[in-house]
Amino acid sequence: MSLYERFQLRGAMLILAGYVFFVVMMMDGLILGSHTADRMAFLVIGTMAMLAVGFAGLWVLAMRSDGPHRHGTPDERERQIELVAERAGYRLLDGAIFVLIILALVDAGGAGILGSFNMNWPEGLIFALVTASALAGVVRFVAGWHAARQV
Amino acid sequence: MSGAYGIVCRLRSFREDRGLTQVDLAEALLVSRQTIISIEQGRYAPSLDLALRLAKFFAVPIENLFQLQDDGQAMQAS
Repeated sequence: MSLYERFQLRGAMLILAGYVFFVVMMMDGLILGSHTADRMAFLVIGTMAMLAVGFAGLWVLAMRSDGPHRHGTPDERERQIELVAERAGYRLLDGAIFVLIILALVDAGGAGILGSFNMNWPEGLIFALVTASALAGVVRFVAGWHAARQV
Repeated sequence: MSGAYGIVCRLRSFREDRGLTQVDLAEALLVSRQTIISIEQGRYAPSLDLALRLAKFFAVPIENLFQLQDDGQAMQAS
Protein backbone atom coordinates (compact mmCIF):
# COMPACT_ATOMS: atom_id res chain seq x y z
CA MET A 1 0.00 0.00 0.00
CA SER A 2 1.43 3.38 -1.00
CA LEU A 3 1.96 6.24 1.41
CA TYR A 4 -0.83 8.16 -0.27
CA GLU A 5 -3.28 5.25 0.14
CA ARG A 6 -2.31 4.99 3.80
CA PHE A 7 -2.89 8.75 4.21
CA GLN A 8 -6.41 8.36 2.80
CA LEU A 9 -7.24 5.44 5.08
CA ARG A 10 -5.83 7.18 8.14
CA GLY A 11 -7.84 10.29 7.25
CA ALA A 12 -11.04 8.22 7.18
CA MET A 13 -10.16 6.58 10.49
CA LEU A 14 -9.37 9.94 12.06
CA ILE A 15 -12.74 11.41 11.09
CA LEU A 16 -14.48 8.26 12.29
CA ALA A 17 -12.66 8.50 15.62
CA GLY A 18 -13.62 12.18 15.96
CA TYR A 19 -17.23 11.35 15.19
CA VAL A 20 -17.32 8.50 17.71
CA PHE A 21 -15.92 10.88 20.34
CA PHE A 22 -18.62 13.43 19.47
CA VAL A 23 -21.38 10.79 19.63
CA VAL A 24 -20.19 9.45 22.97
CA MET A 25 -20.15 12.97 24.42
CA MET A 26 -23.57 13.86 23.02
CA MET A 27 -25.42 10.71 23.96
CA ASP A 28 -27.04 9.96 27.27
CA GLY A 29 -27.39 6.21 27.17
CA LEU A 30 -29.31 5.37 24.02
CA ILE A 31 -30.93 8.79 23.66
CA LEU A 32 -29.53 12.13 22.65
CA GLY A 33 -28.64 14.03 25.80
CA SER A 34 -29.62 17.58 26.67
CA HIS A 35 -26.72 20.01 26.52
CA THR A 36 -26.20 23.73 26.92
CA ALA A 37 -25.26 25.79 23.88
CA ASP A 38 -21.83 26.43 25.40
CA ARG A 39 -21.15 22.72 25.89
CA MET A 40 -22.26 21.90 22.35
CA ALA A 41 -20.10 24.68 20.93
CA PHE A 42 -17.17 23.36 22.97
CA LEU A 43 -17.81 19.83 21.71
CA VAL A 44 -18.07 20.82 18.05
CA ILE A 45 -15.10 23.19 18.09
CA GLY A 46 -13.09 20.78 20.26
CA THR A 47 -13.73 17.88 17.90
CA MET A 48 -12.79 20.01 14.90
CA ALA A 49 -9.63 21.19 16.64
CA MET A 50 -8.68 17.58 17.44
CA LEU A 51 -9.24 16.64 13.81
CA ALA A 52 -7.11 19.57 12.65
CA VAL A 53 -4.29 18.48 14.98
CA GLY A 54 -4.71 14.89 13.81
CA PHE A 55 -4.49 15.86 10.14
CA ALA A 56 -1.46 18.04 10.85
CA GLY A 57 0.11 14.98 12.48
CA LEU A 58 -0.68 12.82 9.46
CA TRP A 59 0.83 15.47 7.21
CA VAL A 60 4.01 15.65 9.28
CA LEU A 61 4.18 11.85 9.24
CA ALA A 62 3.94 11.86 5.45
CA MET A 63 6.58 14.59 5.15
CA ARG A 64 9.03 12.80 7.44
CA SER A 65 8.77 9.46 5.71
CA ASP A 66 11.35 8.49 3.14
CA GLY A 67 10.58 8.26 -0.55
CA PRO A 68 9.39 10.50 -3.33
CA HIS A 69 6.59 11.89 -1.17
CA ARG A 70 9.02 13.85 0.92
CA HIS A 71 8.51 16.93 -1.27
CA GLY A 72 5.14 17.10 0.45
CA THR A 73 2.97 18.46 -2.32
CA PRO A 74 0.56 16.15 -4.15
CA ASP A 75 1.48 15.47 -7.75
CA GLU A 76 -0.93 15.60 -10.69
CA ARG A 77 -2.16 12.02 -10.30
CA GLU A 78 -2.88 12.61 -6.63
CA ARG A 79 -4.66 15.88 -7.41
CA GLN A 80 -6.83 13.98 -9.87
CA ILE A 81 -7.61 11.42 -7.17
CA GLU A 82 -8.44 14.27 -4.78
CA LEU A 83 -11.00 15.58 -7.27
CA VAL A 84 -12.66 12.18 -7.54
CA ALA A 85 -12.69 11.81 -3.77
CA GLU A 86 -14.06 15.28 -3.13
CA ARG A 87 -16.80 14.73 -5.69
CA ALA A 88 -17.80 11.55 -3.86
CA GLY A 89 -17.83 13.46 -0.57
CA TYR A 90 -19.98 16.26 -1.96
CA ARG A 91 -22.44 13.79 -3.47
CA LEU A 92 -22.73 11.98 -0.17
CA LEU A 93 -23.26 15.30 1.63
CA ASP A 94 -25.96 16.24 -0.90
CA GLY A 95 -27.67 12.91 -0.35
CA ALA A 96 -27.37 13.11 3.41
CA ILE A 97 -28.91 16.61 3.50
CA PHE A 98 -31.75 15.37 1.30
CA VAL A 99 -32.34 12.46 3.70
CA LEU A 100 -32.31 14.89 6.65
CA ILE A 101 -34.92 17.06 4.91
CA ILE A 102 -37.16 14.04 4.33
CA LEU A 103 -36.70 12.84 7.91
CA ALA A 104 -37.46 16.32 9.29
CA LEU A 105 -40.60 16.55 7.14
CA VAL A 106 -41.82 13.10 8.13
CA ASP A 107 -41.08 13.84 11.77
CA ALA A 108 -42.81 17.23 11.56
CA GLY A 109 -45.82 15.47 10.07
CA GLY A 110 -46.31 13.78 13.41
CA ALA A 111 -44.70 10.44 12.81
CA GLY A 112 -42.20 11.01 15.61
CA ILE A 113 -39.76 8.53 14.10
CA LEU A 114 -36.67 10.46 15.19
CA GLY A 115 -37.45 10.37 18.90
CA SER A 116 -34.76 12.24 20.85
CA PHE A 117 -32.92 12.86 17.56
CA ASN A 118 -35.67 15.10 16.19
CA MET A 119 -34.34 18.29 14.69
CA ASN A 120 -36.77 20.61 16.45
CA TRP A 121 -34.25 21.12 19.21
CA PRO A 122 -30.66 22.33 18.81
CA GLU A 123 -29.08 19.08 20.01
CA GLY A 124 -30.91 17.10 17.33
CA LEU A 125 -30.07 19.57 14.60
CA ILE A 126 -26.37 19.77 15.55
CA PHE A 127 -26.17 15.99 15.82
CA ALA A 128 -27.77 15.55 12.39
CA LEU A 129 -25.48 18.08 10.70
CA VAL A 130 -22.33 16.68 12.31
CA THR A 131 -23.40 13.16 11.31
CA ALA A 132 -23.93 14.19 7.69
CA SER A 133 -20.63 16.06 7.64
CA ALA A 134 -18.69 13.19 9.24
CA LEU A 135 -20.23 10.67 6.87
CA ALA A 136 -19.24 12.81 3.90
CA GLY A 137 -15.72 13.13 5.27
CA VAL A 138 -15.32 9.40 5.75
CA VAL A 139 -16.71 8.68 2.28
CA ARG A 140 -14.38 11.31 0.80
CA PHE A 141 -11.29 9.58 2.21
CA VAL A 142 -12.48 6.05 1.47
CA ALA A 143 -13.24 7.13 -2.11
CA GLY A 144 -9.74 8.64 -2.26
CA TRP A 145 -8.22 5.39 -1.05
CA HIS A 146 -10.26 3.41 -3.56
CA ALA A 147 -9.37 5.74 -6.43
CA ALA A 148 -5.69 5.61 -5.48
CA ARG A 149 -5.80 1.83 -5.78
CA GLN A 150 -7.51 2.02 -9.18
CA VAL A 151 -5.35 4.66 -10.88
CA MET B 1 2.44 -1.14 -22.48
CA SER B 2 -1.07 -0.21 -23.67
CA GLY B 3 -3.46 0.90 -21.00
CA ALA B 4 -7.05 1.68 -20.22
CA TYR B 5 -6.68 5.08 -21.87
CA GLY B 6 -5.85 3.62 -25.28
CA ILE B 7 -2.30 4.94 -25.08
CA VAL B 8 0.79 2.87 -25.74
CA CYS B 9 3.47 3.82 -23.21
CA ARG B 10 7.12 2.93 -23.62
CA LEU B 11 8.30 4.72 -20.51
CA ARG B 12 9.44 1.55 -18.80
CA SER B 13 11.78 0.47 -21.59
CA PHE B 14 13.29 3.98 -21.82
CA ARG B 15 13.78 4.07 -18.08
CA GLU B 16 15.33 0.62 -17.90
CA ASP B 17 17.59 1.33 -20.89
CA ARG B 18 19.05 4.21 -18.92
CA GLY B 19 19.42 2.14 -15.79
CA LEU B 20 17.05 4.30 -13.78
CA THR B 21 14.77 3.12 -11.01
CA GLN B 22 11.20 4.31 -10.66
CA VAL B 23 12.28 6.29 -7.61
CA ASP B 24 15.06 8.02 -9.58
CA LEU B 25 12.61 9.07 -12.25
CA ALA B 26 9.95 10.11 -9.76
CA GLU B 27 12.40 12.29 -7.86
CA ALA B 28 13.73 13.87 -11.05
CA LEU B 29 10.23 14.82 -12.16
CA LEU B 30 8.87 15.66 -8.70
CA VAL B 31 6.10 13.10 -8.80
CA SER B 32 5.43 10.09 -6.62
CA ARG B 33 6.82 6.67 -7.44
CA GLN B 34 3.25 5.42 -7.59
CA THR B 35 2.58 7.87 -10.42
CA ILE B 36 5.48 6.44 -12.43
CA ILE B 37 4.22 2.91 -11.74
CA SER B 38 0.69 3.85 -12.83
CA ILE B 39 1.94 5.46 -16.05
CA GLU B 40 4.12 2.45 -16.88
CA GLN B 41 1.24 0.06 -16.24
CA GLY B 42 -1.09 2.15 -18.40
CA ARG B 43 -3.46 2.89 -15.53
CA TYR B 44 -2.82 6.61 -15.62
CA ALA B 45 -2.44 8.88 -18.62
CA PRO B 46 -0.11 11.73 -17.69
CA SER B 47 -0.98 15.34 -18.39
CA LEU B 48 0.55 17.01 -21.41
CA ASP B 49 2.86 18.87 -19.05
CA LEU B 50 4.21 15.70 -17.45
CA ALA B 51 4.41 13.89 -20.78
CA LEU B 52 6.49 16.74 -22.21
CA ARG B 53 8.72 16.77 -19.15
CA LEU B 54 9.26 13.02 -19.51
CA ALA B 55 10.14 13.47 -23.18
CA LYS B 56 12.54 16.28 -22.30
CA PHE B 57 14.09 14.19 -19.54
CA PHE B 58 14.81 11.33 -21.94
CA ALA B 59 15.64 13.77 -24.76
CA VAL B 60 13.30 12.07 -27.20
CA PRO B 61 10.21 13.22 -29.10
CA ILE B 62 7.06 12.72 -27.07
CA GLU B 63 5.64 10.23 -29.57
CA ASN B 64 8.55 7.90 -28.82
CA LEU B 65 7.23 7.61 -25.29
CA PHE B 66 3.49 7.76 -25.87
CA GLN B 67 1.34 6.82 -28.83
CA LEU B 68 -2.33 6.33 -29.42
CA GLN B 69 -3.04 2.62 -29.53
CA ASP B 70 -4.27 2.81 -33.15
CA ASP B 71 -1.08 4.57 -34.23
CA GLY B 72 1.04 1.96 -32.47
CA GLN B 73 -0.77 -0.88 -34.24
CA ALA B 74 -0.47 0.90 -37.55
CA MET B 75 3.27 1.34 -37.05
CA GLN B 76 3.72 -2.33 -36.16
CA ALA B 77 1.75 -3.39 -39.24
CA SER B 78 3.77 -1.22 -41.62
